[in-house]
Amino acid sequence: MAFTLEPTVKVIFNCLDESGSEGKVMLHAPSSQLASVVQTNATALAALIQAITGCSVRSYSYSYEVSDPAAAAAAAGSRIEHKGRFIWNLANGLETRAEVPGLDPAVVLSDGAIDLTNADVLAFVGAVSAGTAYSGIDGSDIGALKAAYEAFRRSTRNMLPARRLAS
Amino acid sequence: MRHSAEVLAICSRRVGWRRRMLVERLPVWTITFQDQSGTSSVMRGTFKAGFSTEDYLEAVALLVEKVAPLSGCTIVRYAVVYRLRETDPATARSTLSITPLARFLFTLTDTPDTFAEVSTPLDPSWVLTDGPLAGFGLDLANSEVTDFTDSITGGIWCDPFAIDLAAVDTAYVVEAS
Repeated sequence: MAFTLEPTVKVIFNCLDESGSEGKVMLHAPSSQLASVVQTNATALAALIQAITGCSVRSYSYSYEVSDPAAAAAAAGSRIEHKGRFIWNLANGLETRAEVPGLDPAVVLSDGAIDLTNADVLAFVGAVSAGTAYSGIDGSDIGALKAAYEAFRRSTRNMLPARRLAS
Repeated sequence: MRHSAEVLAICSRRVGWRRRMLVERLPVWTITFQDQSGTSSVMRGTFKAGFSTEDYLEAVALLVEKVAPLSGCTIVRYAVVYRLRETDPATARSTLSITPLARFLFTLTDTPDTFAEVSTPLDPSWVLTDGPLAGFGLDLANSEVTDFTDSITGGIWCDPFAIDLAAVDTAYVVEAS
């Protein structure tokens, strides 16, 4: 894996017009800019976008992206519909979950539970539980793992294989 | 660095003069997986506030390292995403995208004959009504349009390769499909 920070931060404004239709405005800023600077500039621009479009700017986001332009090929037979679902307890009594796409069958037990004695699984679960920056959707601390099992998502048309005939 | 919850009062002509605010939400991390068929899926989670972008990116990189062995997919991208959202709960009522669009072309500082585009929803008020570009070109002399284009060229904005935008060259209506 040779991940590299993208040269720009992608800033996306979400607009809503009077009919309820949505539109997006996308701009870029150098990724060398601090998040606070990007946010200050984007917030100022939101008002100007609204002034020239008449639309309401409902939200905006900006992302620092790191990509691998020479990523290794995915394993044969890997399918993103095959998920590993991990559920953690939160300090506030609620739960948070993360789903790993393309779960390796080697870490799944015969009853569908994820093998919590597997070293790779333990390393992942431990990293999430020990990480100080991760949280639930409301900022609550992540506690102990509650459940881990395989799950399947229904395939969309785009996910189906290109070759579907028997011949 | 942690930035305070910045707010913006927004008033809109078309959707009525109401006071709204954009409020900061917790940042999220995303990891993009790609399977053998080339189909992508994004794993995501939430970060606490109060960390620097570098800290967040390090935290996602650690997750990438730990989650990669659990998946047969390849990880092609990861990101930290900051979000601000309007306090008004208004949601889209239509599945249609806004059309037509206004397309602004900006010259680049390093290669003036190369352009970067920025497209926005179109306010018909800015469409020229006379001259050779009537019904097609946008009025770049209008003060509100100028405020927008000046903010783009005078701000931090750049093209996708981090080249600064120099000046607005032209703007016109796009009947998006």
